Amino acid sequence: MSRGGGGQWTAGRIRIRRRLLLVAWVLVAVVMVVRSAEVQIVERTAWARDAVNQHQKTRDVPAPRGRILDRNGGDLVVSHWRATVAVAPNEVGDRGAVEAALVDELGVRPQTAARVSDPTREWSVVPGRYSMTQVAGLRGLRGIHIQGELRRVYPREELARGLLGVVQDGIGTGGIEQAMDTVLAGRSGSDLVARDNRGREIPGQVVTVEPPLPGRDIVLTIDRDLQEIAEEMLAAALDSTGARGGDIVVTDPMTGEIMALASIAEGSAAALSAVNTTFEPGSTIKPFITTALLRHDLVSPRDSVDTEGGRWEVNGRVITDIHRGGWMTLPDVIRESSNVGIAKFASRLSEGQQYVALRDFGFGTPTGVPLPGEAAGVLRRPELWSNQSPQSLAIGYELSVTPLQMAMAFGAIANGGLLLEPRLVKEVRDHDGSPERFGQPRVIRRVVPESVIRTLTPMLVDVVDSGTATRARMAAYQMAGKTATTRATGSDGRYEDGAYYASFGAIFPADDPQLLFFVRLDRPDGSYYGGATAAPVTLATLEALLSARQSPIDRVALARSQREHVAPAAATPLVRFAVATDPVEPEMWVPDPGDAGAAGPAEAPSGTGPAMSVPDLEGASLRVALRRLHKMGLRVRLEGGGTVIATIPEEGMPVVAGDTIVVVGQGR
Amino acid sequence: MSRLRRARRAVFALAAVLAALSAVAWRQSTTRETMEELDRNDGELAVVLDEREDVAHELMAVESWGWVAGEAARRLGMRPPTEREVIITSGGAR
Repeated sequence: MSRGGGGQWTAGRIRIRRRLLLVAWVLVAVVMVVRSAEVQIVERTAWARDAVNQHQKTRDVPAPRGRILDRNGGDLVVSHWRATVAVAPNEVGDRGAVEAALVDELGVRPQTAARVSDPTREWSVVPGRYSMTQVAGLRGLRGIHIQGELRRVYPREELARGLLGVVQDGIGTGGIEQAMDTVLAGRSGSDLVARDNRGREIPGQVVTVEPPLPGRDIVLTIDRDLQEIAEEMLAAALDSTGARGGDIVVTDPMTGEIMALASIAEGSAAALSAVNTTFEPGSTIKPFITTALLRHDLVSPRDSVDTEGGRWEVNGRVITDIHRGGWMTLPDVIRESSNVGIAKFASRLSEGQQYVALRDFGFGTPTGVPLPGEAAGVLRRPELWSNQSPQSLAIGYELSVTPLQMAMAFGAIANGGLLLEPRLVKEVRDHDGSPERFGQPRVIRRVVPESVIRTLTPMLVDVVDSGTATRARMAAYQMAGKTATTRATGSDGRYEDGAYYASFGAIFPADDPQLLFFVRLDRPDGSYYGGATAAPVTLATLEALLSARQSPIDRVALARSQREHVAPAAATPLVRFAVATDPVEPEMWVPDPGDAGAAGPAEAPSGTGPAMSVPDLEGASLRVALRRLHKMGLRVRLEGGGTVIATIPEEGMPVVAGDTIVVVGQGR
Repeated sequence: MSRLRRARRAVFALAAVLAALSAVAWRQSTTRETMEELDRNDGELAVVLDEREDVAHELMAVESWGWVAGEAARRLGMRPPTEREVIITSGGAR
């Protein structure tokens, strides 16, 4: 009984279990059907997208940034692929081989190679970025991962760094990189890459979705060699004069093209103080005041004023000169840089005439150079002037300018009276390399008639030949220029005792200008006058440029500008380098600081000791001529023998100790 | 007889399928090899172009005024000429 009842109970349990199992299976099946319907119908799009992502990957393709080239097409900045190398030590099979490869291919130190491949690390990045050539030998090594990225490369390292700027996080910062960021930056593209089941890219399975659009190339007006020379000469000048900083701007005065722009400020050559730092121009303003006087027929070159022995009190202000002169003509005033003389002449101008003259040369207005942070300088309107302002402005105070503004203003004198907009970008090259013209030379205005310039230029030639800038005098060519020495202000805006800016604007050659120089030195020590510090920098830059293999100078035109007495024989080759022979350091003429006037010093004559001129040696024996010239501290080069028939420079020409005189003998 | 024919047909069909599959696999592997070769060549080309640009920049550096003047001074004791020592002939090229 009990057994029969027990059998029925067991059968019932089995049936229940079977049904439960069936129900469970049905539920599972229902769940699966519902889920599959959900996946196939409801979530179809999302799953399809995930599947595509698993097998394909969209990859950004960076666009190379445009190159920046010099006027001759040489690279100044390029975008290059650079690689970072990482090591996954856990994946490395042969640690010794990896270390050896890192040392051999990348040139890293053995200790560094050992550290980055240390098995206790999971991931190590090798310091530095490497060219694709360097990393080529590492490809295929297990455990080494190479990641390429586009980097800005400066083939000439520090050349024109302030002018060019840098790129940080893909954005141009400073210089041309910032000013023309939208032109230089390209547009990234994208690729679609097929991946295998391990996520690795399948070779050849790349579809370009959108090709990258490279940035456009920019051709600057800068001449690479001239820029290098200017930077070297500026650095050398800072070393020799102890100046804190300085600027050299070289332009083509006929087109307004900036050919070199070098600045050093606070020890950094990446400065752009030629564009964004102002100073009071001092005596370099005198030529511009003179153009106003000549233009309004208020003075003729033969007019003279009494320079009061170098001290004149006017409207409660004392104006002083280094030279304690008497009556001076306008050319004398310019040559000797007489503050009293120019202040007296300028009193013939109305305030409006004086203001308009300076404004028309571009002072007080940005030049429009395509560089960030350009300073406008200060030129106050006449209604804001004090009764001392006309005299102060006449000697280059109460206004502030940038070296670039000065260069452009001097350029207007060099080209016959046209103020040009500075050009820094010569052309922009399209994506296919075809050039787009970018900014033709642009005349802002005619400042003065050519007739005024023709009258002024000989005065500026005299400044270099026999005035305050004889340290820039050239034997073979005439240069026109004007020096200045102005008091420097501190951070509080007050004049600093014993601190000066020395500057020099020069036109080369004077008769057929090709280059315009403006040099400014910030607080030179010792002989701080523009004629003793800034003028020699100009000469040194020009000398180096004349010997450069590639030079922006038109040599054919320059040959026509040579002074007659040094015209070469037709077969004489161009000298590139001369062997050093007993180089003589020119003495620095250190004036008495007490000579500096209350409003800053007028220009001192450059050269050493008292003014000298070439003596009359004609008919003398070479031995006698040699003794006389050596006694004067001059160097002598003999040509021919017998008695002297001529000297170069000729008799009466001004010379300074250290100059070389060519003595030509009868038996030439 | 008919069983033998059917067996032959089946073998031929199987062989044809295998041959087709092999051909596909062969073509795919060949393509992959070619693509890998192409990728390698692209990489080598990039390296060579990179190297060429580096050499061009080195050349540019050694042609620069500063380098030439520096080396002339260091190796030969020379200096750049003063303007009095430079003579430009009227027939000179720009």
